[in-house]
Amino acid sequence: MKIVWIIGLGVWVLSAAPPASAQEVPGEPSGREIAVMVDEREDGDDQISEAVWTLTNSKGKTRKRDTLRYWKDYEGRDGLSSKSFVYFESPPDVKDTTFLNWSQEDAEADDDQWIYLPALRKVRRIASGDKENSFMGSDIIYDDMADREVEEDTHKLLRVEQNNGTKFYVLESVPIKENYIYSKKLRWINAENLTEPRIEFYDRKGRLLKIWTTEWTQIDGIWNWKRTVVENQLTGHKTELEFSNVRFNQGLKESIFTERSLRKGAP
Amino acid sequence: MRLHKVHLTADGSQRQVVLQFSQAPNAIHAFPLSTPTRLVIDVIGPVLSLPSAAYPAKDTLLRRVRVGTHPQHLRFVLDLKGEKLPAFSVEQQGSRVRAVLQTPDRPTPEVRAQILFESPEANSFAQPTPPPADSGSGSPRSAQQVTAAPAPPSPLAPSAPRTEAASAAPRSTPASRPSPARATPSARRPERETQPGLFETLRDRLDVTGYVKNETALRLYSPHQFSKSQNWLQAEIEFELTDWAELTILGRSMFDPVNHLETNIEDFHTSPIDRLEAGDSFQAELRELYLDVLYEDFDIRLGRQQIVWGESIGLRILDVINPQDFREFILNDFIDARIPLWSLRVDYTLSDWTFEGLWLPDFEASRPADQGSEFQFRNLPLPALPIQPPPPFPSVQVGSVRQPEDWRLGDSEVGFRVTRFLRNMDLSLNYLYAWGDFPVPFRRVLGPNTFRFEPRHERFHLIGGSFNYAFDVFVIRGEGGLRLGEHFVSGDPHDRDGVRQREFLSYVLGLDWTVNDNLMANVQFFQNVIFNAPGALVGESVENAVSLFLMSDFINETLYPQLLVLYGINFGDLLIRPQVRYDFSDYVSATIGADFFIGSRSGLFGQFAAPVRTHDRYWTGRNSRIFLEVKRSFAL
Repeated sequence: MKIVWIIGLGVWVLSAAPPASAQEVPGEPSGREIAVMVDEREDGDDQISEAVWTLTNSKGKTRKRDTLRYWKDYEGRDGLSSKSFVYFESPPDVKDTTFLNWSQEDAEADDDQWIYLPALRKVRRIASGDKENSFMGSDIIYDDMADREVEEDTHKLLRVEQNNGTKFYVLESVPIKENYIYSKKLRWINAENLTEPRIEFYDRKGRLLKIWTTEWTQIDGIWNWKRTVVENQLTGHKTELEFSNVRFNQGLKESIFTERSLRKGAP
Repeated sequence: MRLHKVHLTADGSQRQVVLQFSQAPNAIHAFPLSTPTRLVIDVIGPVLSLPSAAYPAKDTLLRRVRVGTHPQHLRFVLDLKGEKLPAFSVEQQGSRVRAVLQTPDRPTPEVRAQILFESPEANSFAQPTPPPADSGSGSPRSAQQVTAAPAPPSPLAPSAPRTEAASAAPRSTPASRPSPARATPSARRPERETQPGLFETLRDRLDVTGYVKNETALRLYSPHQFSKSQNWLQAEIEFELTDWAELTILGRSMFDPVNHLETNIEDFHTSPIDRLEAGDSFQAELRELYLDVLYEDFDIRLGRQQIVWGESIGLRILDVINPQDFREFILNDFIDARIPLWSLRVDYTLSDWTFEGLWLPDFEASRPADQGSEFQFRNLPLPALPIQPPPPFPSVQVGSVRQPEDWRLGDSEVGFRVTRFLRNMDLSLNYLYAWGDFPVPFRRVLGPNTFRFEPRHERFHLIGGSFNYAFDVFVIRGEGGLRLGEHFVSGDPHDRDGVRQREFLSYVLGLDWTVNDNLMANVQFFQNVIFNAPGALVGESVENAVSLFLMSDFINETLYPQLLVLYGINFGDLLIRPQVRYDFSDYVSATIGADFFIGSRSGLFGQFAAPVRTHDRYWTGRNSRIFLEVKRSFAL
């Protein structure tokens, strides 16, 4: 464990090295400015979406999960960043399972999380301290789904790329917290609409861990995921999410994000 | 660029006016004017001529929205009431322009949304392409023209994704962001082109899921025979009657050619409605049938159902509303072992509080395993079961069990629970006024050498609560219940009726530990305490037990090894339950496992560990077993 920590620290020191010049790419905004702009990209006050999760292992065997998700922005109210509620529609073995997350505004604080398991008919609070846990056996971990503050990373604009006539910023985001799950992320950011079509995640040892590619679509003027693929480069496992029926600003009620909703299922 | 919609949301001191266009404008420019007070928004882009119009608003601040066409832009004028100009901000979000006005002078008592204008094209999810260069006549465009691909994002400078129009006025901060508009269904959902048929309606509203599975268990000790080979078919039908009402039916049938779990299938309460048994090997049961009525802040569940309270794993403390089927001791899942009851449950949510009320006019007793069956109780795990008569009385009569009347108001059970979600912690307070699930064997002396047992169910009050507290990778859990006036069997032969009432506390404290992505551990300590228990009471006045539960998953949640150990401290007896499940697919899984009973025959678990003299062909003792379960789920 100590060796791992030392190697991780080495990666950290290399990654956190200061940029060669104050202006990372002449004539372009700084990495931090871009990160702030991405963070402030309009995401609506609330959202309803359906998603099909397809999990594929290295041998090509697939499993599917259908989910319905409700999300509401709290913007710091009651100390919360957001609340989300996920209902599992299929397959039959997980049908009626629900998951509730209250995301804390304080980045250091653990989220409040509950799960309702129909096989037990019980709502159970679950510990959220270990954010490395996989969500539903996918290649997405709980930390990936949490709201990450700009201040939690240092951001550096590495370069500007052109792809099919579109300009992309390539941003390197290195966590300030030591021994964080990822040693860094490389993010490709569309300069026009600030969407992120590609993110590379590097593990504590600095190895490329997973690649996250996303097709975006604009709904009600808000950019949103249309299809996302997360490929684990170490295991060969892959997770695909296909979104549909995405609706913004529906005026979602507080009562959706409660213990009662967990037990009764989708609102 | 066509105007699709003008939408107003009023929320307290804020007003939000959203102008929705067919494509992103090139730029916007906003400025206030006074006398009369108004806000002007120029929307610059490829203008499609629009007749001048005014859209009145029913609002305490906004009088109306006017629109006029200019050569290079559309001009919107928001006419305001009063002489004081409110703070405002205007921003562009793709094809939308949002103006936010804020003033404390003209609040609205409630959140209200109004659509001031909406063009027919606005009901389409897809956004239209920019109009052709010669389509500036204002004539209606064809449907094909307005359902093209989404408009590209506006070519804004990378550093300024939003156009701030009124830099002098305070922009809407995140904390003061206006509430979302309550969009009407017609504004959000695409219209159906044709009415759905009956089959399509049924398919949309009907949800059928279920499984077939085989559970086979083999005894590890002599006689090495199968104790069960159950073949289950379970189906659950959910029918959405309306947007606010849903009917659920859950039925199951079982065929077991071995069936050593019961010797007398007639002893279970059967009726034409909910249970059917045929021969020694087949039974079918309507497990659950209930109607859900769902409102915004409260819901009602009426019908035959299971109601579950509590936090513990492996043993039931507050989970005592439904009686239990003990044919397989506590080895089958509680969801299969609970006996559903006809009942009414009402839930009401107020902020982070949930209030729950229960009414149960239906009564059923718990079902102990049959005499002579595999899991017949060898000693009595619960305090109020009948005991053998004391030695001075040679003649014993046993009367039939008296139990409460179904559907008699005075014999109903009621319960109440309040649950509160807090930061890192949940709390509940519980109250239940119910009947004991086992009859109390009251004794009556008929003569110097004769007495009679007259078993009957008795009431008790249960006052309890539960809590959990999460920190880092741990969750501390606890639940407890104090039963007032619980009945216990007295071992004193001179006792008047052989029964004494005492207060009885049962509680559990536990800890969940998420060790890593693949392993979750849980440890629990259980204790039962009979207060003021004289030595004459049958059974232990203080009973202690601990449990360990390990659950893990591997290969992206397809392989699930787990282990449950229950240890009775008083007698040093154990129940050890290792098992491994593998999901071959989303629909097919197999589980292999074992149930080991170890320790003193006086203990709850040890009673099934000791060899006993065979009374008949099934009761052989030493019930440890291995089992295999193969399950195929389905959804229609």
